[in-house]
Amino acid sequence: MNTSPMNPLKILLVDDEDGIRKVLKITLESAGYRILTAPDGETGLDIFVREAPDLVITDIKMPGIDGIELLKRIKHLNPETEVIMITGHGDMDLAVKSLQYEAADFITKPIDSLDLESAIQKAQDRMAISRNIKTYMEDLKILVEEKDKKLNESEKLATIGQTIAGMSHAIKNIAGGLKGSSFILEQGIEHENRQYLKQGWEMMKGNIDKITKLSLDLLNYAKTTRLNFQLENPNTPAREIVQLMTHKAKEKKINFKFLPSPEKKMALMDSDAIHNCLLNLVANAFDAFDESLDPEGQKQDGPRQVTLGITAQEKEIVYQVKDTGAGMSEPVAASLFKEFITTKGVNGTGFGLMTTKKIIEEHHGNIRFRTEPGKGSEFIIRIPLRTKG
Amino acid sequence: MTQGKELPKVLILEDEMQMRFYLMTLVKSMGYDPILAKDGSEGLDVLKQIRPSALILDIMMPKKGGCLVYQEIAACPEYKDLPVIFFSGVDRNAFFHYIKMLNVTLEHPVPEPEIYVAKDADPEYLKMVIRTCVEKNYPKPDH
Repeated sequence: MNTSPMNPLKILLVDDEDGIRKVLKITLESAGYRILTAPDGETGLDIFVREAPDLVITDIKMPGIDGIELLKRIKHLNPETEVIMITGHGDMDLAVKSLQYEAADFITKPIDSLDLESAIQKAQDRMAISRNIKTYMEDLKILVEEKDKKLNESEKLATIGQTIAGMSHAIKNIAGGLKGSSFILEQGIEHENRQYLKQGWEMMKGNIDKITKLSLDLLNYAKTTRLNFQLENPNTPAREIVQLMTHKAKEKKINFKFLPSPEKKMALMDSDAIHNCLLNLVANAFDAFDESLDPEGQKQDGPRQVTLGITAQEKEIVYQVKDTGAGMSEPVAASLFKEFITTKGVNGTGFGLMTTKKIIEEHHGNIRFRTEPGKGSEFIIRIPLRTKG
Repeated sequence: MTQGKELPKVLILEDEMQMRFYLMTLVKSMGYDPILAKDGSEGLDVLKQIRPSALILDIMMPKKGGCLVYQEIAACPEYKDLPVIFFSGVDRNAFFHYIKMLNVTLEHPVPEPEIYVAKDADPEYLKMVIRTCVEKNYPKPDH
């Protein structure tokens, strides 16, 4: 699409008059253009389809497919092609009509070579402009795509910001707990008060556990961005939890039940990540029996049971972690997966559930829960059964 | 403190048991009488019966959080002189921003809280704040 001698502008010339065709061909070729000619509309259309000329110059009045019809068909085939109409003296109506069909220009017979050259030049300018517009639109599209990408990145940054805010809150609470416990211990030593010493020591141990858990949670949270999916038996990560937690269950006098799936279905998952999710949920379930959650000891006589169950359904794997512990009040439950609130609380930092939710979402699954104060809680993870990536 | 004379009371509203125990120990070590409540509603009930010299208020508590308690206290003229010490792990700026946002929705905006102590503050600092509040508010013996 340029007029350099190496690649001259290709013009299709359609006219039923032999003489005009010949004269125009010679004139235009000597001006540096490459000329194709056709004696009628049908032939012109064939050549147009075959040769894809940059510009078409056509007589308006022709037998068969006339100039207006040819213009319409060409514009239909390729709207970007510029078409210059040749009109006789009394054809003003047709000329105007051709402009309605988006002809580039019209020149009148007898043809003045300067008029023709200027019409071709104008058509070329128009082509250049529409090329520029096209390029501009494409640039704009790329620009929009880039902005979209940046927006996504900034959303990611916002999430990281939230994570850091939540983390700072968790750390502040732990630091507060450690300072508080030191104060109680100092008072206990000063007054030789055994109760102070005991309480202060418990509080300090609890906060040391919390900070250990926080660092593990943060590590797990960071890991969720690079999961490694492999075909696994969904029972495997759960079985590891049972081995890991059975001792703790005995220590806390909890009846820990494991109900593996009897079906031998394999699912695409990151076994380590699912292991972490289940560990977090089971540890939470165990914590639901802690006395600090229930200072009045109302639940001390009730059954102390935690169940970890797995079922393989047709389209999904379902993990269920159920406890008969303290349960959660409505406001606590409502704020559960929001880190700002969950970082509050006796038994953890709130990052565990956030990480669990993120891991499950990376598996295209979901996590739901039911809870009732005094009765217990139940968390259900559903992961779609995929066997291929 | 002379025997028989009533000690200044400090009401502690904190849901976390260990934190509550810490605040109790701290207030006791200052020679004041700590009164404990584990959430906002319980705290407001206690307030109807006793008149503390200062209130230590956690912000995030189940049932009724610290901001709602503050809102109710601010609405009662009888608590006009009760010093409220916000004690929380919530970021200071986030907390003051939250109060501003809350005020937009309220017909009677609450005054900007005067005293905020971060949960990880030094016990000595917290003691100083509590003492300032109590001494300002505690009725003199000849009063």
